[in-house]
Amino acid sequence: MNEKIRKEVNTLFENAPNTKRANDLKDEIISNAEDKYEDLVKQGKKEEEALQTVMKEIGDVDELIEELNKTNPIHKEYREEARKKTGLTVSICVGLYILSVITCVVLDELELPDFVTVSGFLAIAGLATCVLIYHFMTKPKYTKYEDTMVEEFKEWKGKKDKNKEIKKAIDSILWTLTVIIYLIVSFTFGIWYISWIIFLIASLIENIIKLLFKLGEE
Amino acid sequence: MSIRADIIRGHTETIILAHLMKGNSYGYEINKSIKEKTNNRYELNDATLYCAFRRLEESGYITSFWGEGNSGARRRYYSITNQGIEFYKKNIEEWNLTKELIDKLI
Repeated sequence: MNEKIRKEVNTLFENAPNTKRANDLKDEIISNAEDKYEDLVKQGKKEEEALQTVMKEIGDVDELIEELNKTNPIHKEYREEARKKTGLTVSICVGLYILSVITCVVLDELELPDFVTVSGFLAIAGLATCVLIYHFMTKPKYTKYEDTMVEEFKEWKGKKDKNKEIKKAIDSILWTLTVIIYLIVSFTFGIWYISWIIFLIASLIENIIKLLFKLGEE
Repeated sequence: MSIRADIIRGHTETIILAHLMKGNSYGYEINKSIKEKTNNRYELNDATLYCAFRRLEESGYITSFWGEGNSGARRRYYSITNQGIEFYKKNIEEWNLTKELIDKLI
């Protein structure tokens, strides 16, 4: 392996986006450059000269990377549009929430009956909530898989999040059960002076479950 | 006599496919064979070569896979698909027709 070529090519890719595509391209360029270099040296060129020739022929990587990114223009435009739409929707809804509070204050000042004030407030806030829910439920998910490290990371994180949700669910079940048992036991036997210990036990169980999860992950 | 590189460039993809018709290959080997076949008179520059690979791959005419290189670095090999073979044949037909017409005209 030629460290010099590797180093030079890495420098060329310094400003490249950290995507799988760019990394693949880098590896491809390195292996081809190494072959070319070896051939040149075999033909009798000096090492320095060969390196220079090889690097010169690789040329401008920025242009190449730009070209690579360009192959996916629809994707970029589409996401840009979606982002703008989300931005607009959220701003309008935040505006509506503020308006709902103002309405509430104004109606109250006018000394209208309480139900009018509350209805006005709820109507506007409700509208904003409906718009938000509608927007995010109909917002299309990533339609096209982007071949990047970022996507891989998201996928990995998504898996992790699922684990987290299970943990959360177990936690909430555990603590609800604890409270129920605490109340039942305490009321039935009237042992309030000691029954609080159940919370310590629950805490212990929680930590044991956490530990088991961690061991399972490894 | 200078080579009209712009005319050849329009056929970069067909040239690459022609090489892959003979078996799997990788970037440097393809470019080297182009250079040898043309007695050093023509060679693709790296950017053209890599862009052509990406275009061909995205169109489904070639596929790539990683293999071992000489020096331990991984090497990207390409192989032609059935679709690519069809595309190649179509391009050859088109070229033969064009050649015939141009020969008659100039």
